[in-house]
Amino acid sequence: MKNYKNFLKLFFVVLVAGTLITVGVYMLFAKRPTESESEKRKLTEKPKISFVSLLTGKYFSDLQAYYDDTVPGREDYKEISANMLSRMKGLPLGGLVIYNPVIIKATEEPDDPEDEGTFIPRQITTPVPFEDEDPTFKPTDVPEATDYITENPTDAPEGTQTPDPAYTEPAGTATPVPTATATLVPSPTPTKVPATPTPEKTPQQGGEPAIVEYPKDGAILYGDRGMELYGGSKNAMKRYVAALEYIKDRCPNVNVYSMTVPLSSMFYLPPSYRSNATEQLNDLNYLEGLFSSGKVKAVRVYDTLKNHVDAGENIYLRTDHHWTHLGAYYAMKKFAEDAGVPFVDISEYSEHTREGYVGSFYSYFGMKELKSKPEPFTYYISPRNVSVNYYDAHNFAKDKDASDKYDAYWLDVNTANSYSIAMGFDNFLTISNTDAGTGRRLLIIKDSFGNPTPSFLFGSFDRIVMIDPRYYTMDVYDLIQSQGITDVLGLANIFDHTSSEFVKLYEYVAQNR
Amino acid sequence: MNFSDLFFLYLFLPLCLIVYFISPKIKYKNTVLVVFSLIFYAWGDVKALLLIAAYALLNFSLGRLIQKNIGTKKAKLFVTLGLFADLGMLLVFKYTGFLLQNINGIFRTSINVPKFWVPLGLSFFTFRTISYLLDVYWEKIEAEKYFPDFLLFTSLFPCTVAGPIVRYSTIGAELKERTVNVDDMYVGFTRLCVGLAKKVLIADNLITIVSAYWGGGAMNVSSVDTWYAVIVYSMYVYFDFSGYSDMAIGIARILGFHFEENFNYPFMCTSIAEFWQRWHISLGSFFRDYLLYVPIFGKMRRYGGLFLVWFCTGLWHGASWNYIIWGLYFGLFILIETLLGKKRLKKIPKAVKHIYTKLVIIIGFGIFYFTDIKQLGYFFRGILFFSKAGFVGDTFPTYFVNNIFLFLIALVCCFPIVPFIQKKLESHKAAQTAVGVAWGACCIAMLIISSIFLVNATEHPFLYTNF
Repeated sequence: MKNYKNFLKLFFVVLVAGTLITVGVYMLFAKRPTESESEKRKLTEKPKISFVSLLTGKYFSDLQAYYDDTVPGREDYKEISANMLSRMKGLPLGGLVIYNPVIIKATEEPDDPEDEGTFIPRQITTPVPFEDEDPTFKPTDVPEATDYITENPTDAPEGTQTPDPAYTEPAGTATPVPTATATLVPSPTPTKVPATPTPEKTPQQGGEPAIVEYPKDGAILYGDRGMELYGGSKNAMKRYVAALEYIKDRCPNVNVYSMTVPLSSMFYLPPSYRSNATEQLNDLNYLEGLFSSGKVKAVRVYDTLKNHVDAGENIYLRTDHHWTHLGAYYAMKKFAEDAGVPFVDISEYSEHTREGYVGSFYSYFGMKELKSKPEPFTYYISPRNVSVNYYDAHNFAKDKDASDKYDAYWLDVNTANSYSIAMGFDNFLTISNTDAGTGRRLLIIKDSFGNPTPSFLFGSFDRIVMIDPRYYTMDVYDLIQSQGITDVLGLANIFDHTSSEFVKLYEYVAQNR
Repeated sequence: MNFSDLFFLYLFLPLCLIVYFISPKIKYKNTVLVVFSLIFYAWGDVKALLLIAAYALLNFSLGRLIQKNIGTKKAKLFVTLGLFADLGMLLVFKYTGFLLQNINGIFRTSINVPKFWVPLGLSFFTFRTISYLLDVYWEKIEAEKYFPDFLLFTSLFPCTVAGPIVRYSTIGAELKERTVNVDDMYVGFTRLCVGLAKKVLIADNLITIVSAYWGGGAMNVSSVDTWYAVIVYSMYVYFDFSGYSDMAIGIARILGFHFEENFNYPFMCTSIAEFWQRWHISLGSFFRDYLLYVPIFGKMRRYGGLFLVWFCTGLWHGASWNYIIWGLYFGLFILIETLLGKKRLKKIPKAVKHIYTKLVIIIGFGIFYFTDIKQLGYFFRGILFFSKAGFVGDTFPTYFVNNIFLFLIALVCCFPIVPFIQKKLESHKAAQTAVGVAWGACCIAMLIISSIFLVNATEHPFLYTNF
């Protein structure tokens, strides 16, 4: 009996040791993947050995990161583990599953002035060399270019990891991306302070520290629809409004607009979660109410989108945290009405649909249930002629020149990146020249919700420049001047317009000496 | 490098085991282990390698000198020198910043507080060498004569980074001679699988729940959510740390070393004193043996020693006031239990004792979590049902049900239910084989499933590698 027991133990030992060795050998020699389709990113590359990297230990950590990130068959194993995990963890309640991969740090009480709803301008550097600058275009009353020339450029931190351009981040995960071409110099005693950069004081700004709400949970899955739960900060809203009003102060003859896009959770949450939607609507109303001075015009798209959602139209993606291109179209229609520019009706666009789209709720939030429930992705090609220059906003290299309107679209992206078909990815600085002939030129300062919007304004503005504060690090007033901008639109989802992290980036864009 | 990295499991460990087992003599085996241990250490902290090697040499030399001069004042001098050197290293690297911050705070000075680099596993390394020097001085052991073996004792990779605090008296003889039989291998591999599963399948998933609640601070977390989060966090710390200890003990066993247990189902305790006899046993026994009876408090020795032990227990975990509060908090309950006496404690119904201990332990882990004292205040508001976010959050029922299986599995595994069932079944001869086979299959399944989870895992280092 003892021998039999020993044999079983030996068998077990051989089996475990054999597993470790066999899998180890397989992982050493099997072909390793270089990209992850589900995560929409390039996987870690094998590090190059160098004396310095060996000495500092960087080579070892990089090698390990490469080994762990490029496991042969990783996509299959990821799916298996996601399946097992969801079964192992628990059950849906009323069809709801809460996902929480994103931990959003809250700024709870205003330890630093940036969190008090006030806007403090800072110094920013660097002129922007745009090849297609139009020297003949001179909008009246735009401040002289010399006002924007900066001093004391210094080196920015190096080695900052940049997000994958092929990925549009879910709301509330804004990451400032300092680059080697720009510098933020904190200026405790600014030489020029805007006259009225702050909105009216609210009771919260009295003596008590303001309470800042923040999102505790990431997202929920309800049936076959993923949604982000909302949580925002009133202080951040005030800072956002102040930043936009500051742009208006600096460029008094430029029209400045703000569009805050509700999350899909505003419309699709089940009854048990309606309080989150109510909170979202209350905050949207509060935010739009902060523009009461009239300096900046709030473009309210909530009612527009709600009408179309109620009519059963596909305004938000089920498997992704963004709106559909149709949703963006309706929002731009409302914007064109408010801005008083012509607008091309969707009936003039050619409509195309891709099947099998599964977006960020699967790839980012890990809602494995959605893998088997893809949705069609519909996009629209504008009838107008347009040429688009795509710059990499990170290093300002020209990425793509599209003189033909079809080139302007990113029709060759894979299905998982379909959202980027119109106007590409987050990290681009795009300049679209159209044949609209309206004499108006628009600058859009946006998050990923803004990505497809210029494609619906080709008949409305002669030139549309689009930047993302997460990537844009140059002087926005140089940009406004050099591109002859007549209208500025701040556009993002409500999460970002109420998040201190994202608003801080807006402030960086708006700040000046 | 973590024990729960694919790189470690499927490259470093198999390679180490192959080279180790094909090496013919103990001398070569030890050399293999020293080389792999230093590589393991260098992987995490190449800068500290020279420092650790130099300190190993210093402690080795001091040990020899103490041994040579045993019973004389010179021995006392050498042991004092060693303690100063070891504790000095700990103080400089781990606590200088904390000290300066407090000086600045108390005296309103503005001394620059540089960011100190803390060598990996410093606290564990220091405690191993301190125990060695004191044991030599107290003549409990003989000083090691061969430096490579001493270097192996101080750097042995299963316990380098996060313990257990293995004493020379435990493995000194095995450094010279050890054999590995099937039982050792079987126990070693099962512990490896169990530890990995504790970490990857349970702890890493529990911490995502905690982060969802506390990742942004404790202020806006409702009271019920706070209780849920702190219970989950308590289980997380247990599974994370005991998982690491299981793997360390298991790997050491495969290599022929017999480490002492570091955990013994701590949530089974009926008093706080008992909890510390079951939790991080190697740390508790270190303080008991080397600090409790240090004669620096005169007549107040009993209470002074108690205070010192719990102050140091807290401080050892980190250079932050919350850890000190955490240590003293447990010290306070142990003092109360001491004052009550064993007889009175025995009279209290077991159920009451269980509720009392679990409450104290769980709230203690809340103190352990929040290094920011302001956040700790919010945590206590939540625990005491004064949370600004109200009694219960909107998402609690859904989130609780979404994670109910994980919660229950973790809860069950906190108690010795599996060993109990095993024992019951093993008393029937017919069931013995079935139990053995089933357990083996379970372990292999845990290894495979954990490995698959690791492909999809964000890196979650073991909590105690921070200490």
